[in-house]
Amino acid sequence: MLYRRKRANLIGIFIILVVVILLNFSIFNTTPLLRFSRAVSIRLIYPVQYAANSLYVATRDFFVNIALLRSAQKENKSLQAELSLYKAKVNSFNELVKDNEQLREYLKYRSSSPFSYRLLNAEVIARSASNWFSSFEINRGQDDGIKGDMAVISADGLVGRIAEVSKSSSKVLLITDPSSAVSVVNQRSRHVGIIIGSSIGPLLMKYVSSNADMQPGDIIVTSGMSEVFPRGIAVGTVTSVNKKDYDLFQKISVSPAVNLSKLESVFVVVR
Amino acid sequence: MNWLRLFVLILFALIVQTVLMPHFKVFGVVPDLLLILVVISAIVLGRRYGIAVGVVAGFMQDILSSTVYVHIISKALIGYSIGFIKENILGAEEAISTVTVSIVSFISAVIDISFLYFFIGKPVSTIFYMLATIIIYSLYNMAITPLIYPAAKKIMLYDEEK
Repeated sequence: MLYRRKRANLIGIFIILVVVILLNFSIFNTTPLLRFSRAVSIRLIYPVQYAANSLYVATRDFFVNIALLRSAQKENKSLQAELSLYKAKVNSFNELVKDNEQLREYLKYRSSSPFSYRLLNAEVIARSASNWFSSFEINRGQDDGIKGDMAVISADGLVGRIAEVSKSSSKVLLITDPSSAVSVVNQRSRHVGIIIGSSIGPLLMKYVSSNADMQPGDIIVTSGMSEVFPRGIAVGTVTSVNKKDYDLFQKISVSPAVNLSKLESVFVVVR
Repeated sequence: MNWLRLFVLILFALIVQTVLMPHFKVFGVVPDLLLILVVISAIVLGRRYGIAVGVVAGFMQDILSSTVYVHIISKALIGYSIGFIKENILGAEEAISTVTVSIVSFISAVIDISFLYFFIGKPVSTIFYMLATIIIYSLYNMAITPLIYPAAKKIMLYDEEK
């Protein structure tokens, strides 16, 4: 009897294993039943995550604000001085933008800068439940016009792309996820490559030929070659370059431009 | 054990894991509350519950983390194995110490990484980073288990104690 029960348990485990392995192949991954169960689970969990996140942020901000209140006045004065300086800079920047637009019009050049699209602000409400994946949930979904594969950026640079959309939330696949790949270019030397995510450790820039000019400190930006990411968004900075005579490609490590673990709000590039 | 209560416990762990734990990273690593819950339920309630909690917790974790299903495999296997060891080899739940949790975490991480390699066709990072992460992950899980174990056990055995 006991032996039979143990065997039944083992068969159960085996069936689970087979089903899960099949689930991971795209043909099964897109079955209506699985999509439905994912959508229902996300819709059930989202409000609780949203409430828990709001509570956490409110509690943390309360204590942080008390601590910061003392230095706020002093900081305010110095920020105001800094602001007036930036106002002057913005004016000259606007002039340059106008000149640039005019020149582009002469050349009939279509802009693919992220700032030529509508940017939709979104809050990060929950993060990946695993160390092996890099993703987070934002509080914008289909109702806000979000669609799959839209680029997600922050003030510092590229964050990732929309991987899944539900009614009022979306999952963002970060550039550090192992399944992420972004077409990039070195801002200085203009050599192109692909940035591959690594959920632990630095990003890897691949397919850069061994004779390409790559130096630590070089800024890497999106190339605009794919339909997903507009060109010119900062992706990261080269931290190390490893090239060997007999290798076809260099091994390049890149540190992300955005501190992804500290992000609280992002912009979705609505195209 | 009331299944609904167990489900709420899994949901609670999932919310804490996705909302709070990312703010308490140690060297970029978060502990796995759901894995700890699977181990505790297998120890306290046995193999059948271990598998069930493993499947539900793993599935939810996969849904919220990625489009690849790997945690459901490792957590179901861990739930079954720990329940089996407790029922047939060690007998007493005291035998499952925090050190066991760290060993289980190590095994679970290796299973996750292996299946990920199989499904996405490339390693999640270099060997150095993977090993460092697994070690920190195992130690972190071990460190927080004593904080979770008494409360989780009390909730799981609430009906019997009453």
